[in-house]
Amino acid sequence: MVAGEGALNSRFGIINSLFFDRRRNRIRAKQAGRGGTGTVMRKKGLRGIVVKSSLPKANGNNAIDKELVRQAGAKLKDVITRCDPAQLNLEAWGTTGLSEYMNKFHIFPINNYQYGQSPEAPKLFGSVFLDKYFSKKLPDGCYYGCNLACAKGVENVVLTRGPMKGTTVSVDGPEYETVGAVSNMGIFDPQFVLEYNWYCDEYSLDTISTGVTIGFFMECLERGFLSADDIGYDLSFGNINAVDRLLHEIARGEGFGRVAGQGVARGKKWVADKYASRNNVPVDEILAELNKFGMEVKGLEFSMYVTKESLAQQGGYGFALKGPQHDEAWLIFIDQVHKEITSLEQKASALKWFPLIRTWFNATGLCKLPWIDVRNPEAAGTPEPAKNTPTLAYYVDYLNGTTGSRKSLQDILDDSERLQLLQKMINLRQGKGARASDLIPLRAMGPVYLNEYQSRSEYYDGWLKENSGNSQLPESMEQRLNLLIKKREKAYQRLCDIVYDKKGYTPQAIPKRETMIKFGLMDEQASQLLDKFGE
Amino acid sequence: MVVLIELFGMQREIAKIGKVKMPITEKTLVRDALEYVRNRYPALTLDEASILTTVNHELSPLDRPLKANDTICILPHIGGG
Repeated sequence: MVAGEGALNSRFGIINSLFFDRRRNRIRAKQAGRGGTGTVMRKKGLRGIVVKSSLPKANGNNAIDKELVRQAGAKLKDVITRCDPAQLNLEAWGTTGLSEYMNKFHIFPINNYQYGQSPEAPKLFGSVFLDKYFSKKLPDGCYYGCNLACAKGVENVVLTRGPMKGTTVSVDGPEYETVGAVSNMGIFDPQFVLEYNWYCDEYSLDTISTGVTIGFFMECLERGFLSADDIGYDLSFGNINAVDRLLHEIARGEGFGRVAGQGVARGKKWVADKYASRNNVPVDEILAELNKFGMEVKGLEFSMYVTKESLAQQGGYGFALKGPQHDEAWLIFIDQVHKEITSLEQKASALKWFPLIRTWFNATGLCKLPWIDVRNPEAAGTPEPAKNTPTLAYYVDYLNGTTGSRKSLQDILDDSERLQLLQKMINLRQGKGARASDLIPLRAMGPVYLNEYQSRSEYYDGWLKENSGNSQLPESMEQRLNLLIKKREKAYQRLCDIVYDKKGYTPQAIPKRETMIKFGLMDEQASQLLDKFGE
Repeated sequence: MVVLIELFGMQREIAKIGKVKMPITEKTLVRDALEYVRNRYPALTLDEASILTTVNHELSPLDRPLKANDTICILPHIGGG
C-alpha cells in the first residue's frame, strides 16, 4: 500500500493498494479514495506498507464451517452469473455504464452540479469505454475469485499531457465516479478521463474530491468571485489545459494547487477572504453565498450524483457520518425514479435501514455491489424488493460460516447500529456531529441560480404547482426560484426531524441517553460528551 | 396511435437502437411493449424480474394500459455502489 506525493501536498490523498495481476501481467492498483487516508499516512511520514502473507488464497479466514461458506458463495455466484448479464452487465461494462442512466434522469453532474444532463454526455457513456478502451474478455475482479469482476482496465494508453507525456501506461479504471468528476468540470473527452484517472492514481489523489474542488473554483470564476489573475490562468468549465495544469500543481503543492489542494471547505474561506477584501464587503456575506454551491459537508466533497430531485438522497449525503459519500445510502433511483419511497416516513425509514446494512459491509470489508447492483429474482416476492434480502441471506450465512456465529440479519443490523453510534460520538467529539453539520449546500437541494431553474423551467414550474396545491405561481422566474428554494429547505429540515427521531437522536442530532444505554455504549466518557451537548 | 420505447446501456447496444416506435390500440399494455421489443430484437433478454419499466418517467406495472405518445423506458435495477 502506497501514498504518493499528491497525498502529501493535498488534503484528499488516497492509499493505493497494489497487487500483481497475472492475467494482465502487470501491477494493478485499487484505491481507498475518500476522506484523505493517504494524506494522513504521508503526514505521519509513512510512504508505504508491504504485506507479506503465508495465508492461502482460499480459506485464508480459516472458516469454522467451510461447507456453509462454500454454499453461500455458490448461491451468490449463481445469482450473479444468471442475472448480471441481463441487468447492469457490470462484468462487461464496469460502473461506467451508469453515466447513461444518470444523464437520462438529470443525475449526472455537470459544471459543479449545476446541471444533471448534457447533450455532450454521450461522449462519456459506458458504451464508449467498452467499444474503444476496455480490455475485453479479462475478468477484472478487485480480488481473485470475485464473480462480478466490475473493476475494468485499459492497456496501452499513450499520455498526451503532463510530465509523462508520450509514455504508454495502463489505466486501472475508469469507474463511474471518475467519469462524473470529469463531466463535473465540464469536460467530455474520454481520453482525458483516462489520463486524469491515471495521473490521480499515480499522485495518490482522490479523483472525486479533485474534480469537485476544481469544479467549485471554476464556478467561482464563472460567477465573478475569482478572476483569472487570482488563479494564474483561465480555469473555465471545459478548459482541459487548465484542469491538466491545476492537477499537477495540486499534486506538487505548487501555484494555485496549494489553494485547490486544501479542498472545497477551506477553498470557500480563501475565496471569501479574497473577494471581501477586494470589494470591501463582509466575509460572512460572501461565505454564505459560496456555501450555496460549495459541494462539501463535514469537510468532504460530494460524490458524483446530482441530488436536487431526490430528498432521500439529500439525506443520504447529509447524514452520512464520513461526509457526502454514497456508501452509507444510495437511494436516488428508488426515490426519484422508481418512486418507491414517496412519503417522508418511508424516506426516513430507508435512511435508517440502508446505512445500517451498508455500514456492516464496510465494517466487514465486503464489497456491496454483488448485493445491491445485482437484483436477486427472489426479491420480487419480498415486501421491499429494493433491499434485496434474498441475497443478504447469503452474506449472513457467509458470516456465520466464517466466524461460527449464529446471527440473524437483525443481529447484524443491531451490531451495525452500535458501530454507527460509536462513529456518531466520534463525530460529536470532533465537532462534526450536531444538526448543523448535517446541513447540505443549497445546490444539493435544488437550483440555486436562475440558469439552473431555466434549464428545467417546465419541470420546476410543474413541481411547484404540484407542491402548492395547484395555486397560481408567482409571475417572475426569480420569484418562482425563491419559492422553490424555500420549499426545498423546509422539506430537508423536516426530513432531519423524522430521521433523528428514528435513529434515537434528539432534534439536535445528539444520541439520546436511552439510545446509548440500549447499545451498551454509555460510559463516563460518553456521558460527559452528551452533557456537553445538553443531553 | 403510437408510443415511444426507450432502451439504454447494454440493451441499446444489443438492439443497436435507442428508440423504438410502436403502434398501439386502446387495449395495449406495458407488457405488450416488452413483447414487441423482444420480437423485434430477439437477442435482448428482457426478463421481467430483471428490469423495471417506467411510463412517462413514472414506475409502471406491466398491466398498465398505454396511451398515445406515452414514453416507456426499460431500465435495469440500479442500487448504487
